[in-house]
Amino acid sequence: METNAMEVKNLSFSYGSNQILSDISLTIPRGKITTIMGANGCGKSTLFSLMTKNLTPGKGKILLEEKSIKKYSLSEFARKVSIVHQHNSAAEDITIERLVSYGRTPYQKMLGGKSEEDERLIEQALQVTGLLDLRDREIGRLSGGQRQRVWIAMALAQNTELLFLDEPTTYLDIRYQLEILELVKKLNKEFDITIVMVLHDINQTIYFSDKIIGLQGGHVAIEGAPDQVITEESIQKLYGVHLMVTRVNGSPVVAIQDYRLPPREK
Amino acid sequence: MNQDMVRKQKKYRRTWISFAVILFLLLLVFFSAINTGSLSVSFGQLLRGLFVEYDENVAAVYDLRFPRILISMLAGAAIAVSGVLFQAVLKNPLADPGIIGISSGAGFAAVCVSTFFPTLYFFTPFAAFFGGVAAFFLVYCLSWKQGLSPLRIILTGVAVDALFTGLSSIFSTMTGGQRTGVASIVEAHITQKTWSDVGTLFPYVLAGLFLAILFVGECNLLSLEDKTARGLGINVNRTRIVISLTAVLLASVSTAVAGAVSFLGLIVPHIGRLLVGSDHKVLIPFSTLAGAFTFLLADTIGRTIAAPYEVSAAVIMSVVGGPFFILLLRRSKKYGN
Repeated sequence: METNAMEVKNLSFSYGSNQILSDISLTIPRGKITTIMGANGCGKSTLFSLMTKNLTPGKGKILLEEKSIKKYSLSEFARKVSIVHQHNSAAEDITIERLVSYGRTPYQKMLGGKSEEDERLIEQALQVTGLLDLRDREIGRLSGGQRQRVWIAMALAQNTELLFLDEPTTYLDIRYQLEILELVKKLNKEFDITIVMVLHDINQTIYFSDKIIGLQGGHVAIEGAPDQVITEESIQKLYGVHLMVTRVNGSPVVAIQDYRLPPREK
Repeated sequence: MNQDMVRKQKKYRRTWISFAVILFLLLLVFFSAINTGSLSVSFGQLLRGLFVEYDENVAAVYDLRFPRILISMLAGAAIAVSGVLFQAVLKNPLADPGIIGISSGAGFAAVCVSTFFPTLYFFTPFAAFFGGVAAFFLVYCLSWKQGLSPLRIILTGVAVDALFTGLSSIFSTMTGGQRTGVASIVEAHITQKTWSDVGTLFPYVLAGLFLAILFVGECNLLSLEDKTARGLGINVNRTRIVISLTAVLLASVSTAVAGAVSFLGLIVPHIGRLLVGSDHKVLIPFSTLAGAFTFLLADTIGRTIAAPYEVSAAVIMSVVGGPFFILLLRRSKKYGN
């Protein structure tokens, strides 16, 4: 079996004359958690959109099972890759169970009812995300952390090998951030789902990822295991700010003590 | 049993009761519409006259009142469902085929046919459909500015509506305002409708409602963010176009026969959401019944309120709908930005 779930080859993208990504190549290892990080405007959102078929590359290609994702139809793609976007909305009065069942859309025929397989996967998605007891609750009555779990459950019902998450912890406080990241880890370990996410918090990225891809100015600045690629130099390179990198239990930890900001840009 | 399940069951019960009540009300207003005017027939007399033996009064009611009643019901159902679809596609709870100019675009095209090619009257629904599509296209393109804001759609729609209504009025005046076809569209008069008008309207409304039922799942998915719906394998743009065309079809054909009516497509779905919820699987069938009821009620009130003069259903809808619309605008903060 192919060891990479997804491969990006010589990818370039620009909005008009504004080059966002220039000739980048990277791999997403199968069965691992890969996190994309970088400063604002480094191109990580664009890369995320390209990998999830929400934008089409200018040059280069993105391969899923050795086939360009351009060649997948939307529903074919939706059976291989599920995506939890940063911003989500739904009708306030539908139940969690109903919303999670939308995840079965790529498998359903027009006017067809739910199959046993659909029922089973919806049930499983609710169970894994700890939403079984809340299944009849309306979306409008949920807390932020619960909502985020519902979106993950919906993606899970899609039963895909790859799960993309765009800043899944934004707007949540630390307890729910960790709850979500722990859930992501569990999906990876127990269900062998390949995870690709964008995270803002450097320490969370280091702690929960198997692989880090750091973008800077539309190029891949760092790529590899957190242990190896997170250094004071690489942080300086990615964010333009000097931070202290120490070790706790052998893993790198970024601390803000003795930080040094560069002179403000004009 | 937990609290969520109790709420769910309550909602379930409310849905069933709402359907039962609306059906009952529809039958009630149907029979009172039959008996509104100088002739009246009892329920038994009506059944006998229709199915057993000839009855002069029943025959008169059948020829004169039935077409009008059926047209009211068909047009009401069509406009209400059209409103639901526009609201889903535009993600805008204020979208109404009348307010955003679809009906007047369709009406203008229908008026053109009636004025210039009166012999092609059978072609009117097609012309109305293209008029409706043109108006929708205008509204959509003109209000597009890095996305569609609910309020901008309404503002653009009001302008497009004013334009087409004005043009229709000009044509109506040019033809002396006497040509019944033109006047009936412009002023939404359905006084002199016959069974042939019912025959014109029926197949289109049936087709439109059938398509709407076919798209209930897609309508639900459109309530998600576009990217999320796309991630579920839905071609969002294509789905939008197809559902929009269905909505335009329903609004246009009813305008071609019954004239432009505003606010119906706004009020009925809103009340529907309060009673049966926003799931389109339930909301669309409910809006069909409630739309038929509301239009027929408005028409029946219009016939009685100033008898022997008649006030058109469209006027009644505007008088009731205007304040309702303002109330919705005031109540919800999210339309403001």
